[in-house]
Amino acid sequence: MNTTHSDSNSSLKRTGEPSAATAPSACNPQSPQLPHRLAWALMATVFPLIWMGGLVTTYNAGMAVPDWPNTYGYNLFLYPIESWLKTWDVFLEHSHRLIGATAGLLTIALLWSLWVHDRRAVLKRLGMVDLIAVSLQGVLGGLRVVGQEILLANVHGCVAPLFFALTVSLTVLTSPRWRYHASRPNHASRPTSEPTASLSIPRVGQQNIPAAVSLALPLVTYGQIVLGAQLRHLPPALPPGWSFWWTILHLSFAGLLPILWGISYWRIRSLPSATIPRRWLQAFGWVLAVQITLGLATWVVNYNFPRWFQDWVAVIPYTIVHGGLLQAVVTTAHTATGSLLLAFAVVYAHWALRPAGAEGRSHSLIQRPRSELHSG
Amino acid sequence: MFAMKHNRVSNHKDTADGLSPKADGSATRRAWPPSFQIASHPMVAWATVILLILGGCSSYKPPDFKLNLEGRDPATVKPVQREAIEEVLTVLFGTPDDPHVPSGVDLDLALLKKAAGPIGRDFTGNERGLYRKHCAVCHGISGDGAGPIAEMLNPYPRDFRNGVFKYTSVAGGAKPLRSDLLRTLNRGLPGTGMPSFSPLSQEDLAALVEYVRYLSIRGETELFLLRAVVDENEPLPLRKQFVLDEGVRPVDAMWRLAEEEPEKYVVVPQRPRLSPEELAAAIERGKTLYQETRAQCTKCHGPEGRGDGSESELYDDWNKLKKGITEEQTHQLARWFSLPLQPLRPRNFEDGLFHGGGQPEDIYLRIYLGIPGTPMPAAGPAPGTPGVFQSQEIWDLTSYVLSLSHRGTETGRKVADRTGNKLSSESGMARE
Repeated sequence: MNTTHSDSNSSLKRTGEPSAATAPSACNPQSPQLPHRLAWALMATVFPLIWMGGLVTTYNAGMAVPDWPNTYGYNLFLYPIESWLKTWDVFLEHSHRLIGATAGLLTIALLWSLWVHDRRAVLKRLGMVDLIAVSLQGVLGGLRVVGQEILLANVHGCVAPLFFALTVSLTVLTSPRWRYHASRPNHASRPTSEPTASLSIPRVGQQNIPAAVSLALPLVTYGQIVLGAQLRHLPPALPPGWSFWWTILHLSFAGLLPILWGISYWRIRSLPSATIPRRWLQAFGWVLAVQITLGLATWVVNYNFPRWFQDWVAVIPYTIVHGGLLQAVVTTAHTATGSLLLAFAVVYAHWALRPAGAEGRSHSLIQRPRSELHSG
Repeated sequence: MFAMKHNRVSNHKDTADGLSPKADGSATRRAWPPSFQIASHPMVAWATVILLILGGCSSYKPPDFKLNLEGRDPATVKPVQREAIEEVLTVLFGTPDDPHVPSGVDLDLALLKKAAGPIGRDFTGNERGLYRKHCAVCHGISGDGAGPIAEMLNPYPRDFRNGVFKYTSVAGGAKPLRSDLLRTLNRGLPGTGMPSFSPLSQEDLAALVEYVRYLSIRGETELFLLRAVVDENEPLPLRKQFVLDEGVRPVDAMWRLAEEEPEKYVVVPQRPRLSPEELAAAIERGKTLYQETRAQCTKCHGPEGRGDGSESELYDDWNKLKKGITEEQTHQLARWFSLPLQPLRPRNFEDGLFHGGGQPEDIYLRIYLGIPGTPMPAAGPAPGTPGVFQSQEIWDLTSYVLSLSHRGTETGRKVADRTGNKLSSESGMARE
């Protein structure tokens, strides 16, 4: 065991980054990467799932299939391909269901892999929450169809980014990089020259990056997604006025996010060892810029240029095309990028708030083979 | 706060794995990222249960048509009057989920069924709820132009219940043709929130057109009933035959007028093909006509067509009722309308943006027929009136307006420079 650990350390010194084979792990050394790979696979499934869900909302195709969990009486997986591909809204809704089912199966596999290959109990709990979330999400989607209830479509749209954020969280926490850095002092807490920092009891908020600022970014991003969902799921009988206030709030949050981003960046810009959160924050900034641009474009392709724009900037004789490619892509991209933004905020928050020595010394968490444990 | 509190709790609970041995063999309590702690909190499980219960309790509630009380103090309508009106309308026209067609009215029930009801498909794969899918978010379930997002749009979506439509091809106050409504659906209205629905199939578009006609006929009948019952104290209960004879049939007749007598009411623009010289002459004549007092174009559109005429306060028919003499009155009136007062602005021709379409035929029709429901008057002849201008003069005005709009764009400026401020063949007016 000691030999193995020594090898790992020498490998880290050479490369400066953990490799799959050498990363200190809280996992079964025989399959150290399985939970992480499954988390990646799940993440790579959920993001297209969000795109597809966004398209379903954009095209108002949520009720294209009248039954659930079946599709026109067929088992979900046995629905004939020719019927699936025949009509656009049925194609969207059924594809959404199929990708959702795949995400569900992958979540089960992820939970199993965490259970078998990872000793971290809290991670197992998080895996369970992930499974609950995907099940809830499926049931919400189904009840929305059965009950023809737009409120449930709204909730369904709000839970999706949460599930995505959870999956992203699991991907970060199972990554070799996290485990590697978890064994070192927190970059953001104290200068690395103070070795005792890694052994201190970490407290959120004690660090140079205030917890409130780091947490505000994912929370406000999620709040913004919820506000956006209200605008995407307006009941047709809703009196005018509601959407006006939802829009005002949505625009306010859109203004708040760059400010929060600026404060966060300002706080960590001079921390020499905050490289990882800084990089994620930079990435968040780029995605935010794309998202704001998409938000403006979404307004134009749905409501046309506002009057103030025509008065003060330019008059553009643009005609909206309902259900056109531009409208569908821009609107759905705005929805999906919102979830992507949340994912970046969550990753940033993980690294910014990573407590000192979160897992103590890594070798302590390597699940020793049973025989070795017995032999002492 | 939540994360910080739970931080301490979870550290104690995770003792088995939550203690990280130090180098000296003692243990350090481990902390986890906040999202981690929040997600694994029992509250999450509770939230799940609550959401499931909420989901289980919800069921589809069909929406109702909203009684048209625009501009009326609701207190002036007695409950018994309201019930009587709603009852007879339901008998004659059904509900948003189950529309009826009163006997003899020119509406296609099969198309209406396709457009009405909740969004989705039945088990045979037939689609329904097209109106709610594509239109209701702006125009509202009742076609009142006060859908959920109406307040964000300028101009507001059309209130179908008055039976007034801006962009038509019919003169003399006749109702629009199906093809007029279809054209608006197909092309949309540039520069407004009204999109083009060109990606939809012809059958879907026909269903939407039929449903708009249905909402309009129903809406005009409703206005008749409000006048009869509330303003003129028609005895209750209302007799169905009375409503049919006095309310529905006259409205239906108006909708049939242009469809049945197109030669009398429908204006078909015959675009002249002009040489550049002829076009230059037409523009000059148009300019003279534009500035004549009988046309009154400059009053709203200004001497140069920049929309800066002397009429500074303009409102369409849907908004002028909201305008009081004093600000206080306007404020008081606002309580009785779904949407706030929205002023109207005459078109600035230099912008090159025409809501009703920028083709010469579109401009011709706007000048000829006016824009119903707005201060833009009809200048062409109509049944019973000789009109301010004849067809040739309207084409001249069209040429002039289009020449102004081309001057307002970069391309237009180049063209104007090249042709000495003459309308180019790009406008479609010149002979190629």
